[in-house]
Amino acid sequence: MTPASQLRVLRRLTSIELVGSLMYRTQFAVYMVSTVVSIMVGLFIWLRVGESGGDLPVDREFIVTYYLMLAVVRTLVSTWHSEFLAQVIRKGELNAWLARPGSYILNLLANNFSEKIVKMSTILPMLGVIWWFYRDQFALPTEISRWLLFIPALVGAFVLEFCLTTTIGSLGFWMDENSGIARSRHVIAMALSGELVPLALYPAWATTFLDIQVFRFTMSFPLEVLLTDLSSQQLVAGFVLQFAWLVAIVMVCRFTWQRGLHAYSGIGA
Amino acid sequence: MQSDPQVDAVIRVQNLTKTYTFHQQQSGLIAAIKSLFHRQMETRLAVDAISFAIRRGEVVGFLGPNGAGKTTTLKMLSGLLYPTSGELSVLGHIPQKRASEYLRRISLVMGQKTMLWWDVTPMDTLLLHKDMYGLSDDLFQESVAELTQLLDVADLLHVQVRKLSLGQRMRMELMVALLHRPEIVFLDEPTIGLDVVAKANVRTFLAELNRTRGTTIIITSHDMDDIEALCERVIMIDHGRIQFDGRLPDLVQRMQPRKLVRVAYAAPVSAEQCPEGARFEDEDGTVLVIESLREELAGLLQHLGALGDIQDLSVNDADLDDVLRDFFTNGGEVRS
Amino acid sequence: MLRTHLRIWVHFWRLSVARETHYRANFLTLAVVAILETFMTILPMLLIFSFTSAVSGWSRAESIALVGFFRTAIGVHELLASGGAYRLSSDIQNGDLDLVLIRPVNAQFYVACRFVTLPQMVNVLIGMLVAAIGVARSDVTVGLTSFVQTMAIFICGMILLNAAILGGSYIAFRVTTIDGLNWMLQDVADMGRYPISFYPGAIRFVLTAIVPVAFVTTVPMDALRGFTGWDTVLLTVAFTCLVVMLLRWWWNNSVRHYASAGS
Repeated sequence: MTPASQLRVLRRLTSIELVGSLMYRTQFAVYMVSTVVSIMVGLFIWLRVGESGGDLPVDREFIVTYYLMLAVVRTLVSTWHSEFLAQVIRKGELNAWLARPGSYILNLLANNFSEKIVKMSTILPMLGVIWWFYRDQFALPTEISRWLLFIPALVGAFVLEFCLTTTIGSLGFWMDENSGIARSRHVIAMALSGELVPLALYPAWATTFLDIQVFRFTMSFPLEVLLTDLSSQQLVAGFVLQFAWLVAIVMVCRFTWQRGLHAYSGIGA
Repeated sequence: MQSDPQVDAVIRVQNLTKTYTFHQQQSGLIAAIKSLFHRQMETRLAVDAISFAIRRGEVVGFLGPNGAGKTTTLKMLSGLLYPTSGELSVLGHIPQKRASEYLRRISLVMGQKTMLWWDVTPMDTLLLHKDMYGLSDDLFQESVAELTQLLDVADLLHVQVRKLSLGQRMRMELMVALLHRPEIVFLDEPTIGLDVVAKANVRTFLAELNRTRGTTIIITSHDMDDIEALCERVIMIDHGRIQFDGRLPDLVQRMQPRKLVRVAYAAPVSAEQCPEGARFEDEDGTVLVIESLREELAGLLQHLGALGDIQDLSVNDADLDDVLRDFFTNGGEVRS
Repeated sequence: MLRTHLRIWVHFWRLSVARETHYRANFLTLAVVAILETFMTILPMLLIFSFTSAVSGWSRAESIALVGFFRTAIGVHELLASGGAYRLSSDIQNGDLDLVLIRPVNAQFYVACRFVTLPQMVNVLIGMLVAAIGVARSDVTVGLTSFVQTMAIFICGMILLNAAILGGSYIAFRVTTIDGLNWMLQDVADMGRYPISFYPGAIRFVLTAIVPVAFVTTVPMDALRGFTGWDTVLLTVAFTCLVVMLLRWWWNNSVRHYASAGS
């Protein structure tokens, strides 16, 4: 298929999926509460540490802005289909897709896009409420250049996330149960992506490792581009590293998917 | 001597009524929470003032189309649902109180639901039930041995449930349900989804159970063969009301007093000579089909014999399945 | 009656053991995930106390002990009650509760306890270990009185926490979709991994009165640190009794709404 026709299929699939997602919008709203809650915890805790005399390397304004924007970035970037994909593979439901010219990956993408539209529409009002309480300490950058750099960093983060999740989901071709790996990955990513605690708050000896590891580029990096004063050298190094990781993970993802399809026995169909 | 059914009845039902109230609800949590405070109520009469009595040792079939109220009745008898009004007594208990002394004496088998624990062996479930029903070791051993033999499941007791076939699982389901030797067994569509052999096995077993233990059996089924094979008495429910309560052949006769006669002649017969209502089944006019009332059958056969040289003749009751389909599509009134 | 139910409960454990022997790999992964998750709960504490020695009166070791209390309680919930509570909603929708209500056992007990999730033992053990390490490294000296007080409150706290989550799951008798609600309760309970004094007042109220996770974390830890008298213990016990009676009433009231799917 040509890229253009793939895009058309993607657009159609997304609108179909969107209707499906909208039916579950209240369900999504509830799930989004969990995003908001976990982010508020970080916000409250670090503000309290600052108040009780902790000598933090960042100010209140950074903490408030970081955690609020983290909720947005997390919603746009996170993908959760690894267990679902493994199940589809295991139950033999993939067969119906393999008989058609559109790749199942396209369907996963469409599913992600439609979910993100619904999730954003439910999370923004909730964030609005929190923003109102902390509006004095919330400050987004005004420089256009930061926003222009933020967008590619964000897209890169999403593609990285998507490929990581798909790779773990593809393990369903060989494994009966991948939820343990999927959960481990999320737990590790929580610590290393800046979701639990901003990477800026980690001790200095860990900085080098934190700066080059893959999970930084799935969440922390876009936020760093937007909210911190990275030197042009740091920016270039960051984007180069993100791109390198991207190429590596995309290749791994393609490889496992292709090998998996090869090994696919289509059980249960 | 005919005893009064109301006196030695194990099940007594008087004007039993159940209405469901349900509310128009949008999907989703928020709509659901809203509806906690404000509801658009709608009521539906599922069972409408029915009365009957069932004696110990009877095998009774509940017949009726989907949504007729038969399963609702069964669930009220077994104590799962609160009746809206009316009186109900089973083994001297009020079922919906769900006293454990009551629950110990009955059992419920549902064709589509399982009491077996999926990831372990049937024996594990049986042991759990031993303690739930407080069975002694001796009684448990004895009951297991007896049921194992009757159901022919000796080699299935130690196989993980998920690995059993549907028919095997149903037999284990029956075993679990009957382990505590209930006096009354309620069965809701027990043969649904089973193949012909498995269905026959279940029927034979239930008949045997009734014969040897004197267990009272109440059964609902879509499968007329189940009812024909097991039930001396049927209660037909439609639109929440009892339309018929009596012996199965009587029901057939009341609903379908006509017989179906089919005659094949050696040579074509002329249409003018045929009795009224007859029709030819083939084009050259050798096979004749005609319906007749039972009492007019003799005269009709004589007439048909005079028409020509008969090669084949059959006289049949209509199939019970057809009878019921006919009955329910024709507005559910018993012709009498 | 009590003996019967105790024996049935033993069976639920046996069934769980039998089940897990079929899925041994599952046990191992869960252990790994449990260790990772525990570490992830401790990590923020380590980071926080690299900038300060005390937050709202809590030292690092005390905060880590609290994490231990929290993980033990959540582990016990997941071990004993969460499997049953989680399945209630779908059981009601499919009418599978029929076959529970037909048994001569207390259905409320059966529904809550039927599914022992054995691998969660790992979480309980790790939680207890972390609590012990935290307490040992803190300045707290544990006397007999404070130990008894702490245990009393902690056990009440576990009952309260489970009652809140089970009570929430009973809503499934009245409305069709509540899966999300369960998630929400768990998320809120998850906030208990920090001392409640770290939070603003409104959140403290929620964590004490609505999802009473404070009774397995901050309140027992306060007792262990010797900040609590017998009056608090008695009050907690009384509150627990009240909640248990409420839960009993709420169950009975909810079962009446059971419509048993499929007419």
